[in-house]
Amino acid sequence: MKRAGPHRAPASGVAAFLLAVGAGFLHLCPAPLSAQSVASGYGFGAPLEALGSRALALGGIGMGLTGTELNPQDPAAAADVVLPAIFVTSQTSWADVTEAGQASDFTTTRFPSLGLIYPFAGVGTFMLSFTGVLDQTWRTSEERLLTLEGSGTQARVTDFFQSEGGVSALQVGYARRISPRLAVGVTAGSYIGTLTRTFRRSFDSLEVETDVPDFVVGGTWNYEGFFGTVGATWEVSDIARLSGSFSLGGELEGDPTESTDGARLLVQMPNEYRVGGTVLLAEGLNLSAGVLYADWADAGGDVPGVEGTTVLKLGGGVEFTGARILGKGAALRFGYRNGDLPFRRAGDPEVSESAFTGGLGLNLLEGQDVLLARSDFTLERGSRDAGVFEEDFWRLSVTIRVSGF
Amino acid sequence: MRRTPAAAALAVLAVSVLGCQESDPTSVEGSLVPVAPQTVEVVLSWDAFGDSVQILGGFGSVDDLVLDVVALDFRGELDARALVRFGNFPLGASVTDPSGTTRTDTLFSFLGGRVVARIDTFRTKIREPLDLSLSVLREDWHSPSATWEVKVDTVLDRTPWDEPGAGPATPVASARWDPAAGDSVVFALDSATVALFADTTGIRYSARIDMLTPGAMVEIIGFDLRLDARPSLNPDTVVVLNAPEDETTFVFFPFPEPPPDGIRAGGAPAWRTILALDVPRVLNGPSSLCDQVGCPFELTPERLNHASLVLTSRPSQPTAFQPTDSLLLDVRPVLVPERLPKAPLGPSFLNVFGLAVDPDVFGETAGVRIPITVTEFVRALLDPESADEAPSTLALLSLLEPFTIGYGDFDGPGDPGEPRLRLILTASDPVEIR
Repeated sequence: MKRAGPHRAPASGVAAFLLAVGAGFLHLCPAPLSAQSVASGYGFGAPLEALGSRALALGGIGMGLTGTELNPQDPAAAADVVLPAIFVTSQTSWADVTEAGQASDFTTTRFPSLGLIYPFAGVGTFMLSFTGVLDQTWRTSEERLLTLEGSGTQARVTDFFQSEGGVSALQVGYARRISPRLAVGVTAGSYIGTLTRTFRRSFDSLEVETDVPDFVVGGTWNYEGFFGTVGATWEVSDIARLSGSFSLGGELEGDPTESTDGARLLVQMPNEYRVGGTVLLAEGLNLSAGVLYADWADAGGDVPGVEGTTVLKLGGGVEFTGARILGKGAALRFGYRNGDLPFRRAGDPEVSESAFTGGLGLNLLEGQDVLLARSDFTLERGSRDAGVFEEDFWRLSVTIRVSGF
Repeated sequence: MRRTPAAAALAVLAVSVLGCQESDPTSVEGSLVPVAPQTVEVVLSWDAFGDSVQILGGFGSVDDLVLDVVALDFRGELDARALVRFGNFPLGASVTDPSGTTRTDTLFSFLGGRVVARIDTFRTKIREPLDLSLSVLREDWHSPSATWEVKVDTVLDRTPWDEPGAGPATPVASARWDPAAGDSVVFALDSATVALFADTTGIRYSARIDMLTPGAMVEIIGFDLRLDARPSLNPDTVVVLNAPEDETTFVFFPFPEPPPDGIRAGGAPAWRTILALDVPRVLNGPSSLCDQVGCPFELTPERLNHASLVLTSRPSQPTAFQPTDSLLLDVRPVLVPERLPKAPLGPSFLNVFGLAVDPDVFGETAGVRIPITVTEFVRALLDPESADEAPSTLALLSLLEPFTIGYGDFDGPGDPGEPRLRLILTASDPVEIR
């Protein structure tokens, strides 16, 4: 595996590029963080993998990949970064849902990870990231005929419930190579985020014989809590790399705002174990695989009406890095992953997810043997099956990495 | 080399824009809703929420109405006479002389004329011909304050008519109005009567319109005085000049008394009813409420979906004062009850058109319940942050004062159809996080 020492690159014209990308991410979408699955409604939220597009294309575990990555769950991967870099990932999903015999669809875009890595020669690499953890945005509505007690008046009402927000993580980290074959990394983070849950009952004014304002009840919770991850990367040989990490989930606290009548919530987040590696099969051809294990049983037990499950997620893929497109270095990737989602509604079956993935990496800007700008595109075709619902989705992930500013 | 990142950025932005067509995951599984609110309708009797009722009258003047009422023993109760004062006669008119030249002539000889009264056929339900008369009234009168008994009623002057009912007056013409023939009734005048109306040097003569057909009532939109004049420039021709009405009003008898036990709104001058409320903060019944959501039940603005004051109509008393058109009700808070009857009122709780009430509910179909939405008023009373400053007194009135001589009467406290407060309440456990 090729490594290089930290050094400064000359400033390039990436400032305008960064500005354009940032402006687009910040202003074009009114709801930059939105849900990706109706599974959000069946538990305490759907997990958001804080992975870049490349890791998603190679099986979605993201451990032990070649090169230098910003992956808060594999902190040692950043040990060999030579230039400061910014990572931004965007994901757009298109999903078709079948639930209780009814079909629906939705489209969402989210930005699951933003990150910065900054190497200091002889000291190590520092990391800052903002990533999603649990997505809790979903909604449901039900129209029904209500009999008003006391008068017997029949009133058509629409009950509408919306959950909006989720748990995110702000992390700082440090990675350093401590021997030619061993690098270590650590991150510490804080859970942040806000969840707003609103129930609204709308009355059909004609049937109640007058205009009736909606009944609204709800609340807002702010998340907080601490967690951390340690990891290591071992260069097994010149053709193989192995990485592992342990994440201490810590305690997630949902603190109700002053105007919220709902109770404070404490959730014991699970410890996560990740192992993965990459083997060089041939010149420019890598095989990557990994596994994630986390027991969400305690977390589910802390949330009324929800059960946590044991998540065992497997994924892998191949990457061909010898391609060239428009004169630029490019990589082609294919992968597959399978696993369970961490929550289910009490009494419901577990929610499983699987996906085939394909990806393209483009080296946009190269100079003096260093990569200054890269884009990775991954298209996933997957499904989620919970017995009570089925969800088929396409998901396009785009990661932009810009270095040397 | 720098164009490549820019192109990539555009590609990313394009993808982002595609994703901007957001539609959150929407479940059809209703059981996912984490709360189960209960909605209950509660009707409070007057004793449970009412404090006092006060009827006030005298808002506006008959003179403000756009219609004048003429009636004789209408429903055995009402006499009304219209008074009209015409403006100055035209000072000149264009006349074609014998040579064919059109010139302005200022010297006319009045041969006679007509008073044309236009009747509101939309409101008038009579289908049989009516007889009316026109009399010349020599006495001057004050349009804003004239009544059946007095011709002037101001702070420094209160002068009764020589004869009650705007008299004496000299009858000069009568006419029959056939509803099938049109909306105008024409009173023919001779030259001497026209000359009286033209005299501006002394007393201003005016006209009084009386109903001659017993039991009838009409409402008159307006009057015109049409003059047949012979111009000095061409004495062989007759031209018609028009003298429009200057002031009109009407006087009527009897003047209604406020109901001792009821609620009233409308009329001319207009009536208002002031309702002081004392809405409870806690409910301990009825059983339909307690069975569903438990008692005691704390009334809060959040739990109150709807509140309406339900009034029950009854025949207007006297019945001659039943509205002939929809009564537009309005409800406003009384901001400073201590200053009643001249207390300022707050903004309406209804829309700009008020609440239109069918006039028949104050007559043959009396007993109809009329709900008037007062949700925001009750919510303010229940809100701990505004309860101390929120008005607790309502004024029930006509949207326009005055709008018609008729008014709406409703059952008052203690009557079978006494005012009720209809509440739609929804209670729910707090929404929890999960």
